[in-house]
Amino acid sequence: MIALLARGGLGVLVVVVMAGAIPLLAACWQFLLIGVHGVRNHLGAVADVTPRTAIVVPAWNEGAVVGATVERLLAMDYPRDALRVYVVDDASTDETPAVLEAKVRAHPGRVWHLRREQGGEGKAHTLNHGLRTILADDWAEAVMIIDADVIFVDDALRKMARHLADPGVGAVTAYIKEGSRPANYLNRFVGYEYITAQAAARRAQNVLGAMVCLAGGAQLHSRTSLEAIGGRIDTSSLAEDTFTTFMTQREGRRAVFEGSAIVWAEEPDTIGGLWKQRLRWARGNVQVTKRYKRLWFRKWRDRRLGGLSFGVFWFSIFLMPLFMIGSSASLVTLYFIDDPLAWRVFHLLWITNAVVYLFVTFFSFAIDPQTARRSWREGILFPGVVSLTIILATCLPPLFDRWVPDALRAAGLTPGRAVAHAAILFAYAWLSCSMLVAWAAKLLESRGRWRLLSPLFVYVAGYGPLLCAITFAAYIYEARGAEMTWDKTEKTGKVALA
Amino acid sequence: MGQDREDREGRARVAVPAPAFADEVRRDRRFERRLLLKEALILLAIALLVLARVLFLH
Repeated sequence: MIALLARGGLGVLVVVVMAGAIPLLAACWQFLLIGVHGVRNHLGAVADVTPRTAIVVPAWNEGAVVGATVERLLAMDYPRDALRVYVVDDASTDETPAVLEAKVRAHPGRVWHLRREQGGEGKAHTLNHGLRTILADDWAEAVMIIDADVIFVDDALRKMARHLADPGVGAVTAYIKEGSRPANYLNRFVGYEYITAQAAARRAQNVLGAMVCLAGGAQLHSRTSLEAIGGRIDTSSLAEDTFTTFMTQREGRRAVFEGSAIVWAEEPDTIGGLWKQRLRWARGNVQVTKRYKRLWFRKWRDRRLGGLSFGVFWFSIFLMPLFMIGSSASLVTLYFIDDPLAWRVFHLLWITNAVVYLFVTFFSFAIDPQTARRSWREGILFPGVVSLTIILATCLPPLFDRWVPDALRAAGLTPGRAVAHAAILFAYAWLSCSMLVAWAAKLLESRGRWRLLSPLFVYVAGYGPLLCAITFAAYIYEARGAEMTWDKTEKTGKVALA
Repeated sequence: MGQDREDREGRARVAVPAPAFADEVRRDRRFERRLLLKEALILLAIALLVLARVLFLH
């Protein structure tokens, strides 16, 4: 009986360790679907239409960038009489109002300045102020929601609008690319991340017919669809874009990703800034998960959002920190119970990791070679130096069985068994430890001259674990019921067309 | 930019001359199809690496 229980316990530990591979397999499945997108996409249903489009730009103290944004929007490759720009000034205290008044005078009938006297309630409230004005008039056939600092490539709106020829499409989103110039290491990490999270993931979601989130900086809605969801953006959460996307799809219309519509955006260049932005997104995801708790994995409730693949994609990201902690904690436990079994399971997990890493990294480079040329180091080092070393050790057993020990012996060092066991234990625990090291990178960034070590910590721990650490922090914030503050991401206007 | 004219629903105008629009869509579709080819090649390369690992490093 005891032996049976022990075997059962071991089986549970093995299952929990291998659950660490679920996010990897989900990523693999997602990337496999991109190939299907080659033959199953929405381009077959597009037509040459350019609906009258009102662009709504939320702006708070964007004096440095908003003038140029308006000019660039008006200069887009789109019929002049079918484009209007509404800038909603969220009680700015800088030169934003003056800049906008000048633009209104320069482009009468094309640019509107909508002023909120009481601001600071967040982007959704600001957008709703603009949407009320736009929808009160029957001119607009489509509404584009953007950020004040983004740069649309000339044909981006036209390429998005062509999908609205299909009445089954409610909203279209573009490919947001990191466009900070000069770009630091974190910008390059974000650049690579956006290939995987947007150019890749959203193509896969196109195939499923279910979109996770329309990019906040570029979402085009048909008027019919926007009115069907109440003509306003959800203000009760930190994930207004995801809620808009879900509501659009729940109303029976599709949300489509247009990968050739390029929009450049400035993303945070400090871990502190990134942490603030992603914590808001991750907390928003916790809120979405709870709000739609009766939808996940229930296809009979919603054919697409309730589908298995969509649910697996959502939860593999949402629960990734728990998968990582569970996997490494179980491996360490197995090490003390049944060392050879732990070793075999560890190998299986990391060989899966290696195969998925190769596939995802090189396919991401192939999807967007332009970004890959700039961010290839960050793409390769995305999992972090330590994880890459473990991948190498797993795939090339002689590396640590023979070559490294031989090299150490040649150098007069003979590592004992204790060192070897400590190294193995470290490798087993690494999935959890990587998040701690990533968190340490954030702490170091605000510690005077120690901040110079911060990028090194990110490269060692990996950018992926940094995102997992933020997601974990979001669980804690939401469990504590922390106040929802809409921290605006700081923008300096350094985004440029590549 | 092509001439403005209303479509059959009278809601939207045509922006680009028809042949140019068709070319643009054809180009975008070709790009998507090429991703399928690139994916197949990458998977093939990985399969060969795994085979090499199984045959020569065990």
